[in-house]
Amino acid sequence: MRLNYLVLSDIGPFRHRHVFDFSTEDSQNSGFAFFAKNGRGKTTIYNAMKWALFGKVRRKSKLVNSMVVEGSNRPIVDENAIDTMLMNYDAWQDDSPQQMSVLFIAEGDFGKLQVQRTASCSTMARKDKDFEIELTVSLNGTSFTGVAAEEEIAKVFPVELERFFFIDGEEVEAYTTMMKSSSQGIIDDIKSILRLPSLTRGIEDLKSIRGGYDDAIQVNNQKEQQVARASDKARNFFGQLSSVRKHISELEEKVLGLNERKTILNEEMAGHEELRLYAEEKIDIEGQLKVLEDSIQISLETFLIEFSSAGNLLLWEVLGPKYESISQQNDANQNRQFELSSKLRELKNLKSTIDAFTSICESCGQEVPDAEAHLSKKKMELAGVKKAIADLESNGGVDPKVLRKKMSAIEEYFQPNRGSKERLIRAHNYHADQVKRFNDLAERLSDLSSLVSEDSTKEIQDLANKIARTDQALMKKEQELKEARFNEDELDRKYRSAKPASDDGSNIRDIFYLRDTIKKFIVGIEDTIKSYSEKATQEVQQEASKVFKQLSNSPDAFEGIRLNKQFKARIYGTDGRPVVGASSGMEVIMTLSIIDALRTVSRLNAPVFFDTPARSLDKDHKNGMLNYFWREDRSQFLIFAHTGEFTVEEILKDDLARFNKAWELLWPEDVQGVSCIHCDSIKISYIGKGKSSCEGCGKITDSSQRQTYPKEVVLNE
Amino acid sequence: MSEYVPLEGTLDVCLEVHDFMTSLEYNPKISEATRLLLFKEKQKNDFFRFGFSIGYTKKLDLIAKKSKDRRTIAPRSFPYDAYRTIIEEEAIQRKMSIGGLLSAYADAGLLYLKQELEAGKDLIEILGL
Repeated sequence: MRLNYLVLSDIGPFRHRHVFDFSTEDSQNSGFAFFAKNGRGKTTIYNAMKWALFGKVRRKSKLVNSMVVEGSNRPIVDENAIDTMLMNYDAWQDDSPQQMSVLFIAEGDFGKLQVQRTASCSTMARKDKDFEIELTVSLNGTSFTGVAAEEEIAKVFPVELERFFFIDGEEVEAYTTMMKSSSQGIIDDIKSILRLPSLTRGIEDLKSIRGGYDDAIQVNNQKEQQVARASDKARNFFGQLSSVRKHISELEEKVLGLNERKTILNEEMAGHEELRLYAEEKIDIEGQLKVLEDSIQISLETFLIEFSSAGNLLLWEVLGPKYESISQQNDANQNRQFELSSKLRELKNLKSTIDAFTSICESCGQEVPDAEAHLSKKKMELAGVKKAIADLESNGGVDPKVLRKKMSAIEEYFQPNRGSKERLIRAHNYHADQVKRFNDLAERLSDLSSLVSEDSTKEIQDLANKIARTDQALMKKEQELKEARFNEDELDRKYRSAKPASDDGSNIRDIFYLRDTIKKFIVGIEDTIKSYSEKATQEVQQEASKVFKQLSNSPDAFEGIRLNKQFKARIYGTDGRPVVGASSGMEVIMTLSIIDALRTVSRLNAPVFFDTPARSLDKDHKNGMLNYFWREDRSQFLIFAHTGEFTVEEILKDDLARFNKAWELLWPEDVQGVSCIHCDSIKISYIGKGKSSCEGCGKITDSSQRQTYPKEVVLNE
Repeated sequence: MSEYVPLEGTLDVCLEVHDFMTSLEYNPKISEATRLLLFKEKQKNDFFRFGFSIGYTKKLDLIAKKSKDRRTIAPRSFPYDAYRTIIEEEAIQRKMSIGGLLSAYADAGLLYLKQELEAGKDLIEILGL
């Protein structure tokens, strides 16, 4: 990939739009340089490319316990972190809408690529979330946005390789430390550039898929156990079902046989049709007579019980009136006896009164005036009572005891019970009706007997009995058959319910096959990774050694760099021993060599952005590095050099490298009093308050402005 | 003058009546239930009293008091005293024993029944119930 254009808009110190043209006719020269003092935007350009590609820019990494700790994301805007925010401060404060944009155009094996990432906000943005980020990728005329655009970029420039193409000189020392100690961070990075993570992820994905198949197989095993249990249950039902079906078959045969027998008997009975009715009537009557005999027996006994009162019923016709007469006599006797007793008590009282009579009043104690008259009256009353008693005694009649004895005898032996007459008549009539019916039937039977011989009757009766028995047996078997069929339905339903769904096992066989295949894949990939890793390590080692020797200022003293399995790097001398006490510059060169070797091995052809590349290097190493990276057969190399590292004059004077293009990044104050920041004219005049006016372009420049103006350096031809 | 006091006397019926009674007795083992039966066997005592009731209530003429060929009705537990209250006066008048008068009425009553039945009359109708 070659970068042709980079366009920055309101990012970092770059206010408004600035275009950097990397296109050149000299395709062999891939070196580009940016020179600037601090704050002029070297790192901004470096970060702008990162932001355009990956959508984020991290603060510098830190080394903690030999581990690289990634810095946090730099904000687009942040009132509390103005120095590290990405957007141009004036654009943030003054513009509406606020917008920051990076666009680059590149080309490579993939064709022509244009990437533009823009952050914009129509209101006053306070935080990054206020911005709408828009990414547009155009690849060979096809446009992509959003996730699709990110994916297209990832194909061209994987994010995990970022560290090897965006090299920060300030982080090289930390990197060197990691390489010497073989920390996990460096191992991960090296594996990244060897593309091992994607393979490892592939293994993890395959293991995950295999796990899914293992789960499916386990589920299948459980299912098979359930199916086995269900099969046992179903088999049991099927056994019962078979037994019932056999029974049904037997019953159907029996029913069929009975129906055939019934047909034959009916046909036989049809042959006796003429006599059959008589015979049947005869049989029926005989049956009725038999029933009647028993019934008559019962009715007779009832009648005999009731008839035992017949004598008294007759006798009561005569005795009834007599009994009434005796009863009346008895009543009269009792009345007379009561009256006699009453008179006797009255007589007794009168006698007592007369005997005790005196002429003195019992009440007042005075002499009674008519005492004699009163006594005489009492005596007359006494005579009357005596006469009445005599009359009553003379009309005594029959002795009451005799009367009561007669009454008792009649009541006990001759008086019929209430309702006995009705019961007797009813019992007689019922019995008589029964007898009459019996006799009628017997007469009819006699007539029939003369019509149908006993033998015929017997034959027909036997036939009828056979038909009846056959019917009975048929009904019984049909009922059994009905129940058996019901039972069959029930068992069939249970069997179907219990029977597991048919499965030819092809699905699980496929799963077994796939799982085994994936196992083989995993083993294959692991072997491949191992093999590739060893091969790549060897290749990195060789490439790094080659670079190291080129960069080193005493190449004959060193064999090169060796990496162990854990990618721990050491410099080895030509004597085959590790170099002890290597200088820090030598170690930085070792790190850069390994990074470059890794980039080479990655086969990714992309520009290298090297911020402050010569930090920690002495002059010889700086020169060596520049010479190496600016060689003609390699990809684009962009350095962002601080004036303390390299100066334009120094490089041009010493011919350290042959740039294709170079820029100085300047603030107005950098050319104050010398030239116009806009047109480079030297016809400027100071107009006060730090401002100067240009006669060439007419623009007024405020030297206090901290806005960067790129100025392309005129290189020696 | 000493008043005549009727004795209990013997209970008996003439042979014809006796046969008639036997023919109307019901023996479950041998009797046809469809023919006329009036009393269970071994209940001639009750049958006798029934015959008396017919004769007495219908005031039938008494037949010759005694024939030579008669069958005695077992008098065991027969309520002579009860019948005495009914017929003692007549027995005194006829100078007959209680049993004798009863037997005469029973003979008459049962012979009447026999003749009526033989005439084809209905039992209830004959008895006037």
